[in-house]
Amino acid sequence: MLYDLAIKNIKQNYLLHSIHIVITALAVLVYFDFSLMAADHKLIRLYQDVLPADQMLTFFSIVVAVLLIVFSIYWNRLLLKQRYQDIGLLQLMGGKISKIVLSISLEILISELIAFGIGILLGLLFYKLLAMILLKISVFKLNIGFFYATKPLLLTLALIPILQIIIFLNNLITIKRHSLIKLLKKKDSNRYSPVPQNRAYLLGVLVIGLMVAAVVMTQHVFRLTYELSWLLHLPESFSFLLVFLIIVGIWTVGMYGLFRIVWPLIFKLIGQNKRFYFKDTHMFTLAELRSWFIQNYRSLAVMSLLMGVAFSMIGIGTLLSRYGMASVDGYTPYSVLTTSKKRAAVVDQLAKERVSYYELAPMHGTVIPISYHLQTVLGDDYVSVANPGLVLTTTTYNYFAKHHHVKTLKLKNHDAALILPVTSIIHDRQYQETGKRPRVKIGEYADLNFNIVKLSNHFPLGQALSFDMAVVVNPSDYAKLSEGIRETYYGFILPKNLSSKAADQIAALDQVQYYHMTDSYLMKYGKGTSKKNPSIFFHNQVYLRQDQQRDMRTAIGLMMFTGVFVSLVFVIAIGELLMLKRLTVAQELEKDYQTLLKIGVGPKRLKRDIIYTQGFIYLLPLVLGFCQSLMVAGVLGIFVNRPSLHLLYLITGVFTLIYAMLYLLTTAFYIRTIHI
Amino acid sequence: MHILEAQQLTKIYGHHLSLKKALTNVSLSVEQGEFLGIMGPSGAGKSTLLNLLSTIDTPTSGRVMMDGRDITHLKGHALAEFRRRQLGFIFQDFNLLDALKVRENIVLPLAVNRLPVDQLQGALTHVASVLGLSELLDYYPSELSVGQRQRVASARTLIVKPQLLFADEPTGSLDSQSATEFLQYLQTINGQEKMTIIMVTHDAFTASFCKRILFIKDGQIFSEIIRQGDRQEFFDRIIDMQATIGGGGKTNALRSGD
Repeated sequence: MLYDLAIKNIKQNYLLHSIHIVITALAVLVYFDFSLMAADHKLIRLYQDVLPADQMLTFFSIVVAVLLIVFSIYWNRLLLKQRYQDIGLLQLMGGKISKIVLSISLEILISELIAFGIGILLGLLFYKLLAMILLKISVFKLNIGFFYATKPLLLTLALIPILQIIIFLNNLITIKRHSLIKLLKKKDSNRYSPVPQNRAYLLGVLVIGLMVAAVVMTQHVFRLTYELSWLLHLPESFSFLLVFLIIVGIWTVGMYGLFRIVWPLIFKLIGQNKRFYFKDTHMFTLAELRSWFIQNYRSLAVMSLLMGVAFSMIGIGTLLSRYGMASVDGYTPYSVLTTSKKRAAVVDQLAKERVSYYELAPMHGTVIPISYHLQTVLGDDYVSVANPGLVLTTTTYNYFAKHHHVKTLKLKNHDAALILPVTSIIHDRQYQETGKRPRVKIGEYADLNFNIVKLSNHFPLGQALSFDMAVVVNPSDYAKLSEGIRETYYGFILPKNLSSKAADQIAALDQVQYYHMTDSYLMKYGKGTSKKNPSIFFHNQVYLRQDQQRDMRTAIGLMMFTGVFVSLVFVIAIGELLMLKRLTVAQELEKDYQTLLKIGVGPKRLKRDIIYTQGFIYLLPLVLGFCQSLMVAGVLGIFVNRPSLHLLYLITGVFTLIYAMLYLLTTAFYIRTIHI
Repeated sequence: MHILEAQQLTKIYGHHLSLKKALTNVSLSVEQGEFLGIMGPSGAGKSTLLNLLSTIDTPTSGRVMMDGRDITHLKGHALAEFRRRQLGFIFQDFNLLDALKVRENIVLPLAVNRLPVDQLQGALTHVASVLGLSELLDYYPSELSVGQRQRVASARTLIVKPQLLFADEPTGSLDSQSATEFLQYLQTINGQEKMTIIMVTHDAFTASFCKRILFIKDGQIFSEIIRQGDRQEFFDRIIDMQATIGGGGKTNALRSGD
């Protein structure tokens, strides 16, 4: 009996269930395939030197599972609302609440089983394709076959009882909370009326103010972190978290207010232009939109925030990839860089491989502890502890600068240039914001406190050898250095990339070089020892850009793959939820549209109005989500030199196309539902 | 002079396995300024006939002419334009738009006609005062009584001064006092403004306000009565005809010799 009722309900509400099945199947597909990939040792082994790929895939599969649970609860709430009257009638006829809830659960279970079946089947079918995409964007030239493991399957199936229990309890509580009379009323009792206009003006200004404040705060997040830390005597990391939470809180409140107060007020104000308002069907369209925002402000705010999360994931991935690639792209002028100890071995290997190369003049420098004071955007002195850095003369630097099209330096006595790696947290923009010169101290030399006249990230060694910084001084000051370790570096430029085999052989020549700081802060060579000891530093002796690039692309490939798929699930889920809500509206407004037809509004005009209205409704979360991702990128951009968001734009474009298809589908279903 | 003429209207619903004939070869004509009632038992085809006459539905065969123009197969923009300019509708469940205030509901057809705001305001003031709605313009339909809602629906129809007004069970949701007031108003505009009204009802009292009544039975015109004397006498004749259709009534009694 319950089964028959469930099947009948699914048939009657096929569109509602189709939406549920599509998004559940997609989420299951991603969850299942991520879990399979995490269990695929052949695949995971490829990433072992770069990232803990299994942990990353597991983490993102959990994110997808959480999203699926949230979506299912929300979808179930909408389903339940549509059934209030039926549930009331069944109660009136003596039906037990637990049995009624059970029949709804059974209906959802059937729908879920179909979705999980489709998701798992597609997951198995598309595993190879997805894995190949992952390998392709991770720059692995490797074929991977079909893979199956029982554990991921069981993990995926375990989601079914979890979802069922949550939904059953949620329904039981919801129905028990509603009195019979409330259930029997056809319309949802949870309706909101607009905020009175005089109060709406005040609150609207407040909401806009809050959102502007959140945007401004993101631009000064580090200053705020510092000031909060100073004011409340908090550790900076905790203070940063607090600032982040405050911004998220303000933005969330603002987003709620935007949909609850600002948009309805805007439509109200538009309505005050009588010429516009009393023309065609404008008044109906505006009233519909106003009512839509008032009735759905909570879900619209959540959808926009989730859209923001989806795009922010892409934005963060884009910037992190830019951040990572900066250390291995055009900023690093060498194909191969070695210390003097390894030069001969590298030259031999290149000769053995019959590779033509161009060797740059040797670069002589001194490795010595360096510290600097720099006023950062945090608003106070940033002091680097004494770390090994490289001291170069202007002569050496100018040679490379000329070669790499960087302005040459003309330094007076005790002038110096501080050069930080491209991926350093402090970059040109921060330096320019402070307008203050940093002070640099080299070793224990009391008379070598330099006046920094230039801050640059054109580090001649790139980040190749993991030095935190370099300082360029004039030759006479350089001559005063009698401590530290003299190092000579040799750079090679290769006209084209090496074969993988040759690259691996060059990379194999690398050995870690250890530096020990003595009590008096001078440097000496040492052998391998505990990395935890703060007075011991190490860096690599052979740097192969091609190898570093490959590792970086592998890491970025994995990050982008997981980020893009999880974001895609978010975007499609939001599009489908909107579809669900809009089709519910279509059912409610069908009679209104029929009335409009009867009073002589042409079907073409109605369709045009619907297309615009739906377009606006769909566009808003997309635009807000994109703006949020730009805000997040703005904060992260401070860390990244020359931040490029092209990848974000590209992926956003693709997502927009997918989202637009959902919009078109919704519009078509909407028009079909209202029978025009 | 005929304002509306229906020729051999037939309407069949359903698909080829289960066809249902709702109307069979119905022909009728309506004069300018007439107040025509359509009556009949449930399922006789009254509302189907009204829907065909008012372009809401299309006949399976036959045609509807208005002022000598075939309106049966009007579509899209032409149909919308025709409805907007010539026809008015009043329904049992009012069909007001809940999201709009009373004033907006009333002026909606004029706004669709792109009438300038000042003219629109003038028409609203006039129709609201005639129908006693001036105090209710800023309310939403859900805040009104059923009688008031029906008046709003009427105002929305009358503001465009249609040539032909279609009313489908317009008093179905009204209490007796509201119904009487509303019907008197229809009678007034029919008399004063020479507006042609076609009204479907199953209620004899409501029908007694008409000038002529067509009785439909099993999808065909069964008979027709025309008001000649006062409303009471007309009402009695309607009751008798309803009884006749149901198998009783004076006519049947005389025939059977009882």
